[in-house]
Amino acid sequence: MREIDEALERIAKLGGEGLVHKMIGAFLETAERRVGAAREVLDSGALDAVARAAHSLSSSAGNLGAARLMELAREIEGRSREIETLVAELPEALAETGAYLKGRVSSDEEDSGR
Amino acid sequence: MKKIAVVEDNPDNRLLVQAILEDDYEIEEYETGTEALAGIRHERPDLVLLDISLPGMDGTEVLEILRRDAELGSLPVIALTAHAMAGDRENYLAAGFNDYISKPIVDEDLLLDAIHRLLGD
Repeated sequence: MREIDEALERIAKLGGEGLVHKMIGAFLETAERRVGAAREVLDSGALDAVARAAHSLSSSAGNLGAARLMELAREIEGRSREIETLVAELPEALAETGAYLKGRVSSDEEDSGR
Repeated sequence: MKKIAVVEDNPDNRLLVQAILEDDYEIEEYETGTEALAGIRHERPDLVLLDISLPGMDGTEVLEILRRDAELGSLPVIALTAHAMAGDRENYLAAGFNDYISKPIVDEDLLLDAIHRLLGD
């Protein structure tokens, strides 16, 4: 969170607390939608379909000695699975960040006596 | 002839395994874990070749169910896996497999030897 504080400080120097609030507001509005969009692809099973197709392709290619194709398919399978894991982590990462940013905004409002 | 259950969803892998084994063993093929469990219960094989990455119920789940079964628990089961790396052998043995074979199967003797060891033939 230290990096967030540093970034917000730089933004405050540029355009004051007003700018800080606007940027946090804009971020919170859009980030959840974007995470949602990524999660939708995950939930649709598209990444799983790629991984499965790549796995079978890799297997068959390997049987016939098609090493390059086998490796390519294997790489795709591995990375698709990695992406699945990473996307699954997005909501929690965003929640943590969002909570911190919201806390920052509301404490500012308290400080300014609103 | 002794009977081997081959659980593998990829048709060309099945072709290859069949070609390797058909002279010496009777083969029963299954494409999914569910089919395999039903078939194995119905007609018990002497050994099971089990693909780890099956659609739906994967190989490790199938193994767990087999091992919990009073009658089938001691069946020799060889894992077929595309993801074998150093140290994986211990993981597969710890999971309850008797041995594992890496895919693609480039040396059929590796498979045959593993089967001979487990069947004592």
